[in-house]
Order: sequence, then C-alpha cells, then structure tokens
Amino acid sequence: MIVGLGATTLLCRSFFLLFGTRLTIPEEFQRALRYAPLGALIAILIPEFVLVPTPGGGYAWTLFNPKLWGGIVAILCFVFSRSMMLTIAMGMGVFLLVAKVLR
Amino acid sequence: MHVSPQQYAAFRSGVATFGKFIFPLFTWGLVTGVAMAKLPLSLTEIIAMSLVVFAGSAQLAVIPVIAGGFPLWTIFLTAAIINIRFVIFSAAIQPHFKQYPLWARAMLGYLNGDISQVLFMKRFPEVKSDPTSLPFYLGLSVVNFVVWHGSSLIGIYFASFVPKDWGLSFAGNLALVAVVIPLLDRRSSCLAGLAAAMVALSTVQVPLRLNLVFSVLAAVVCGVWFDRASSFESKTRES
Repeated sequence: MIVGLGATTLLCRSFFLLFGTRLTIPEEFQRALRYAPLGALIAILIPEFVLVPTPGGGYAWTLFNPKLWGGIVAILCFVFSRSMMLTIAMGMGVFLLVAKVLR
Repeated sequence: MHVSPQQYAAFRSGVATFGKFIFPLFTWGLVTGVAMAKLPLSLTEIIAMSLVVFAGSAQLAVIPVIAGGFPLWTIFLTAAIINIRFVIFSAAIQPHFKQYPLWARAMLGYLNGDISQVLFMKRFPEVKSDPTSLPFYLGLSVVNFVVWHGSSLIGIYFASFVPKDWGLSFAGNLALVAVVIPLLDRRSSCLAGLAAAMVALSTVQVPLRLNLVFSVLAAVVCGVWFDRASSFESKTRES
C-alpha cells in the first residue's frame, strides 16, 4: 500500500515531465498555466477563512467565525505592511480575541 | 557534474526564497503528522508512509479510507484525485526540464509542492533555456523536502503533545496570505483569484477536495480570458 501510494504521488507529480522532449507544450497553454498555482492556494485558503465545518460534515457561514476576522485582518495587514510576521501576529491576535474573549 | 558559481548562487537563492515560507509548510507537516499518528498502523509503517508518500493533502484524505478498511484501489484512486492539481503543475514545469534524463524528470516532479510551484513560476514565468532554473528549483525542493519530513516526523512522534486546538494550522494559513497576495499583482490575476475563490467556496461540498481542481481550472480560464480581452482591446486601440 505504501509503495503504491508513493508511486501515485510520483506519477501524478511528474506526469507531463515523463514525456520529456517528445511533448512540446504550446506557449499559449504554458502562459495559461501561470494562473494554476494561484488557483490552488486560493482554494486552500479562502474556504478555511470563510466557512466553519459543522458537526454533520457540512459547512456553514457565520459572522461569529474567528478565522474569518483573523483572515480579513491578516489580508489587510499584509497589503499595507508587506510583513509576514506582523500579518501572522495580527491575524492570530484577532483570531484569539474573537475565539476566546468575545464568545 | 560541473557546477558554475552562477548555478550555485541560484541554488542558494532557491533555498533563501523558500526560507521565508518555512512556517506555513512546517505547520501543515505538523498537522499531517499528528493526523497520521492516529492511523491503525504500526509506528514504522506510519513513518514509512509519511516518508514515501510525501503528499500532505493526499495523506490526510486517505486516512479515513485506510481506517475504514476499503479496498486498495479506492485508496490509490483517492490519492490520485487529490494529486490532480500536480498533474497540471507538471505541465507548467515540463518545458523547463524536458531535456533531462527520465529518472531526473521523475524525481523533479516527485519533489514538487504547492509552495515550490508558486515560487518557481514567479521566478521563471517565461520558458527559456536558463542554466539557473534547475539549481533554483533544487534549492526550493531541498527546503521543501527537509521541512516537510522534519515537521511530519515531529507531528507523528509528539502527536499526543500537540494541542488539538487548530490555532497552529491557522497561523500557517495566515503565513500563506504572504505567498498569495504578491501573486495578485495584475488585474488578470486578481480576477483569476476571485474566480478561484468563488468556485472553491461553492464547490466545497464536493468530495475528495476536487474543489481545488475546479478552482485551478477557474483561475486559468479567467486569467486567460482576461488576457485575451485586454490584448484585443489594446490592439484595437492601436489600429
């Protein structure tokens, strides 16, 4: 099982690389793919900030969501300060404030 | 193999570029390690799986499938579907590395990760033969590999000591804000990001984290559409 899963990772991640020089990816397609990692990161982050998992396995939207406010503050903080440490500190501060104090 | 000073500098630049983003990766690895430790497998098997599979989101997704005692092929299928976005990423790095031998290409693909992909594409947006692209990629990959395995092993060993409160993984996500926002530097990428966010939210219920794949497609389609529309506009203005 472990070897199989390792092979799955290898195969997926190197899929197009395995073709080598036999495959030429059109320049236009190549340019399009520049948006791909952005899409993946946004898809990891945004639902994490906006939605709260419910006990039934679903997701809910609520304003009393510490991650939502932490996320908003972090985004604003990074836009203005460009400092990652400050962004994490402010985001966590707001997250903890909403989670522990306001509840 | 001869390494020029320029290539060595590119390798170090790769290490340094990833260095700023060790924190989000570390928290992901830690969280994955803690979750892995709860699998009904021996410690040796868990460590072997973590070291060999080397895919955070896929590892997390197969945990319930393994624990539920489902047939092997369902486990592989789950892992493959979670990794689909890397099939797309592999097409993006293929033109840079297609001249290398098969084993090297396979390894380069295996070493890829979400953060390395972003940082590599940012440094080398155009495909041209550049002797520094490989060492830069290897620099990113070395940090990715070491930090991932280090943090997963810490997570596995200290699973019972890591607090269940997900504050740490949230801090890792906040650090990713610092990766994403610099990517939104043009109107086309803002639009692509907006589309990806809306798709990710509306398809969050789709199983196997397929919403990641949908968002990648949405970002690519919207980005290209906007590029086309704006280049058409500038052409008509010129004429």
